[in-house]
Amino acid sequence: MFKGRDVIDVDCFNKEELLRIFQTAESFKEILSRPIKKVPALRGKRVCNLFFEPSTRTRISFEIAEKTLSADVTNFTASTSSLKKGESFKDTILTLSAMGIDLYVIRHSEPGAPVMLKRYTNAVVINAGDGIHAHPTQAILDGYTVWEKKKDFTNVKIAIIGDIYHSRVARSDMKMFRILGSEISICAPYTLLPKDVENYGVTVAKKPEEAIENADVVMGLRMQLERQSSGLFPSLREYNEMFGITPERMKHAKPDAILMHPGPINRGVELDSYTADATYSVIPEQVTNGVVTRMALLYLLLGGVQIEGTD
Amino acid sequence: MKVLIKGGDLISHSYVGKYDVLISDGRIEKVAKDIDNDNGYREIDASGCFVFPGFIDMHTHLREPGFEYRETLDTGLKAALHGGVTTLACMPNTLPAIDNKANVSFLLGKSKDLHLADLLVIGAITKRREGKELANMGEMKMAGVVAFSDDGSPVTNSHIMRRAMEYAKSIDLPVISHCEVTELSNGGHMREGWFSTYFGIYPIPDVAESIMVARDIELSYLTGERLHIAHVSTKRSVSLVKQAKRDGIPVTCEVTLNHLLFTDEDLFDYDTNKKVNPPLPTRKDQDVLYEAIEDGTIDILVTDHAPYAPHEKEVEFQRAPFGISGLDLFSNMLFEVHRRSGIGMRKLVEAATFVPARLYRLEDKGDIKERNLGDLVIFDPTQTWECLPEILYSKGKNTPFIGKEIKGKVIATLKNGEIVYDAEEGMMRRVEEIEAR
Ligand SMILES: [Zn+2]
Repeated sequence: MFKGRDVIDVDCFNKEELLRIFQTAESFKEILSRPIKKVPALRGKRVCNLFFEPSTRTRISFEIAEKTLSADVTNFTASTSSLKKGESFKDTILTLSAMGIDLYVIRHSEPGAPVMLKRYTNAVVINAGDGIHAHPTQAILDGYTVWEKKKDFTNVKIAIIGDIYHSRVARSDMKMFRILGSEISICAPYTLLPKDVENYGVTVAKKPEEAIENADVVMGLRMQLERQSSGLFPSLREYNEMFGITPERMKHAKPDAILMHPGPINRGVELDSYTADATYSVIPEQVTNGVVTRMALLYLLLGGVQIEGTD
Repeated sequence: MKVLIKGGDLISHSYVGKYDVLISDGRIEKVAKDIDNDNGYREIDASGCFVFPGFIDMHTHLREPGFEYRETLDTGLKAALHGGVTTLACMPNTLPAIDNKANVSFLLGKSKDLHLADLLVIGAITKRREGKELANMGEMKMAGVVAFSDDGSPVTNSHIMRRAMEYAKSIDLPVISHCEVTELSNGGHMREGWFSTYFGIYPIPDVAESIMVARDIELSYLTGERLHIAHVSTKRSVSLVKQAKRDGIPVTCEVTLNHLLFTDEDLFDYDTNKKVNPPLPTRKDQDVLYEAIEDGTIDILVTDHAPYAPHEKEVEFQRAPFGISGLDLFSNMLFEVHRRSGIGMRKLVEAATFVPARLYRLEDKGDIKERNLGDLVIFDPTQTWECLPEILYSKGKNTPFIGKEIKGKVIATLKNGEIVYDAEEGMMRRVEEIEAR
């Protein structure tokens, strides 16, 4: 049911399919603890990581996932590419298409770039983040993290606090957690909420305390300083005071609540330093989960050979 | 040489229904039921077809001078005839801008020599369209412009706009305003709403248009100048225009066929051929646009024909320029609006013929009636064809219809009683015919 499909955004999957991805990821987790971290699942498959926008975390995560599964990996990054010499996106893709790529992982600063890529290739496409549109693999790792901790979605309340407007992670997370049946409460100054955000099926809280109230999962989002100059908020100090996730505010969540953040963190802005390092923080685990969920996706989409310990 | 069009289904201001049309010396001589052809008239069988007055498209970009790789007068005027447009006005956002009499004369002279569709020229409001100093409007009027506009950009400075409107009033020509508060629209690429959020495309709020519509209506109230609002696309703009008309302010407006056929939701595939400014409306706003045509708040239909070269549009959505090529498909798009909106064909045809002719005082155009020019379109609503790039005369293949199956087909376009476009023969060589005479 997965083979050959593209992942433009997370809502291409239904609940059953998402759970299947999580289960597959679970079975891959063991591989990462082996002394030899390599299985031949994708031997002979050619994967190209197309990074038109600088990224370290996501690119490394994908690369480790691909190499663990023994895929042949080609990296294409904008800084080393002919794009700088004025070659268009279209021509870049047409050139690469001649090289027999089976799957592209694409990161781009422009929304819709993965859809555009599909116009010029028959290979499988995974969106690794396109502008402020979507970041489905980050959402899937977030979903897996919650699944691992809570083993449930329907009785789970997720609070998302911060710059939702500029966060493709938040946009994909809102879609996915609604598909999974969770309740979502979001909070940000209205300048940082996109139009008609309620249509995701989320509640907009006026204060962070209200969003966090009784939450099982609290998610912070990166706040970037440059938003200040575009008139979206007055100062980082005021932002932290009014919307920062502090231990005090975390008290409103359920006692066993977890704290998540897609990283990189701005300590003292969206997260208090104490909060980031607290025991309820699963931020480091998210990174590991990023690798196994990406392995699961690659494996399912490319229809890799059976490996021991997986079904 | 007389031409007799037999058996067509006329849709025009003066005649609706089955009539024959006899044209002699370039003008309509007679419209009647069953005109006998015993005098050897050249007969055109229009049975099963609509016969429209030649369409008048008051908002096009023909790119000459300066952007000939996108379009030329030759390709643009041929595209017009292919779409059933026999008279069209071009906007002055060329390089250099059409802001002086020499440029106006150049366009008018060149288009006359081409013997294709009739070209009307709209002059710039301000020099180089910079919004700073008034262009030589009087000289341009003497050279033959029909209106003034800085289309493509708004006249941001309200004081300059006021003076421009006063001055234009003193020479009795209307001003066409491209309403856009750029501080609100800059950086945006589609209409702000749920779909801009869902697609992750930076948005343009609807009020970026209506705020300036309100300003210009107030300036029209102040100056008494005839104001025409270009490409209205939001319910708020419609509501302001409706109120202004009730108040007796001399304001008219247009909507593009694009805004009647597509909505923000259609951008799901990030197709740059659907990227246009003002951005495509929400479905709700589109319904208001339909109503506004019905109740007459919206006066005319236009293409806002904006051809681009393929390499300009084959880029990421937010990096692509705004604009849709439309002239080749004018009749098809109008028919499609009828099919989708349920608005009567007569209403739509009038909004693209009779009404613009009245607004711009084109006395012998825009209607099928005795003594009007023999500018006619014969359109078969039953034929379908595939919209391949090579079929379009325009250099701009940037239409959402490209590669799609299209319902209805222009069988022939007549200009001054002569067939200038024929679906089977293509563009007729009128120049040679005229020279041979
Ligand atoms: Zn315009």
